[in-house]
Amino acid sequence: MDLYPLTNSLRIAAISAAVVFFIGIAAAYYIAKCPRIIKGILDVIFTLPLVLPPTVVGYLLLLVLGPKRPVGAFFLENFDVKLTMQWWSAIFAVTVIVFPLMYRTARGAFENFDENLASAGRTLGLSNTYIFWRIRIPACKQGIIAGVVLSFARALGEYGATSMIAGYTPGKTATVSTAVYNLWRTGNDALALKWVLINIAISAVVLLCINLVEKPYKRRAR
Amino acid sequence: MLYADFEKRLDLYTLKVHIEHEKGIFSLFGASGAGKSMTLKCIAGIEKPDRGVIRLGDKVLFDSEKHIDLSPQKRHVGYLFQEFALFPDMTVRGNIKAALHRLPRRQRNKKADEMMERFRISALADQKPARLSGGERQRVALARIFAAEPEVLLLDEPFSSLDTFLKWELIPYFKETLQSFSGCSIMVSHSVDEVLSLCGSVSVISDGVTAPAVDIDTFSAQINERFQSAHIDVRLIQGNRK
Repeated sequence: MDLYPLTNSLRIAAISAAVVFFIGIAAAYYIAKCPRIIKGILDVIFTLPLVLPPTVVGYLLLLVLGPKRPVGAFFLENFDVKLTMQWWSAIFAVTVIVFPLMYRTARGAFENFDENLASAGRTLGLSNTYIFWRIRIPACKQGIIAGVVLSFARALGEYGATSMIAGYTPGKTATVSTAVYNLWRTGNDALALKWVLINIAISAVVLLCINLVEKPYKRRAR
Repeated sequence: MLYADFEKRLDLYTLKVHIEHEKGIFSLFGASGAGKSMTLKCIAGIEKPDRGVIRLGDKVLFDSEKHIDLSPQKRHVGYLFQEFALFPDMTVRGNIKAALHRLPRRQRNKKADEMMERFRISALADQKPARLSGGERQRVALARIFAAEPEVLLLDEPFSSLDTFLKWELIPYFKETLQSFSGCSIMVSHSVDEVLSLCGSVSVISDGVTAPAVDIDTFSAQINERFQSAHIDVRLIQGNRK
């Protein structure tokens, strides 16, 4: 059994979760400082990928990254790189789809943060960078870890946008989810079932991890 | 010497503060929601007044006309928060060392040990704040503030999160600590007994406006008068019932 779809899925999910970790936290942090109207608009935009069908996200990404589209054509001409139909093309799709999960969990965690801790840090002469990384992030770590794990889990299962932007080429762009669909479509039910079981097992483990992360948090809250 | 004369529009009223304080412990006395904490936050630079001047000695902390607004980091105020605002993910030692970040790494440990000894919290060095009692937290917060060597102390209801019994146990030590401090202190409180036992002068603040400061004896006399008139009122009510 060729395990390429599994390793490919795992690396796509890991990279996307890492990317989303930074941009999700940054978005959640800076949106709190925006004026109310801008905050409302940005919040809608940031959350939209969560409710849109992944095919719509895939379509929109192709509008930008496709070989004949502005960004896609630019990279093709100047760097001779095609942005679609590569194994890493799926990272674009997955990052966009997963971003709202990280953004919203991080925002929830930041909203529960006691601002007096940051104020105390400032009166003690601590830099804003120090306060952010050494006080704010550790105080919000349960929420942030939960957000990353949730993003990773969702990233593993992304199908719609991935299949549009990376397609399904066995040994090249195949992921677990696209493999399941294509194996089923070509009548290879036995192998499709194996991948289904693998997928269920991984997702269950990830969800178990989330619960383990959240438990100590509740204990402390009491 | 602290000089603060500023205004800030808030939702319910406009904060109008005038404080001139030389040395010792000065109290801002008033009901909850009278603007006491906001006043301290403006002096610390956490909140920004709409206009006015705040000076600490010769140093201008805030001047709306000259567009001076020092960051809290540069104001060197020691701010004791109501719930003490200890960093929950750091140990007691970590909290104190955070305030010593300007020192070279090697000196930090030594200075942190000194501070913990002075505030009698050496035994708690490796504890997280969540496991400390209210009184211990207060001492850690004070040690952390003094480690940063402030020029003025701002104390926001330092006993409000402690029970009354503990409060009276802590006040003598608290007073001693403040008296050992060379700069001036401003304490916000809504409790008469705290003010009478700790402070040298008082300004009453109501609906965001500070009254001219009086010394503690005058304040004590005023309060007594009010209590007595309140007693008479009580007696009248009782008399009417009969």
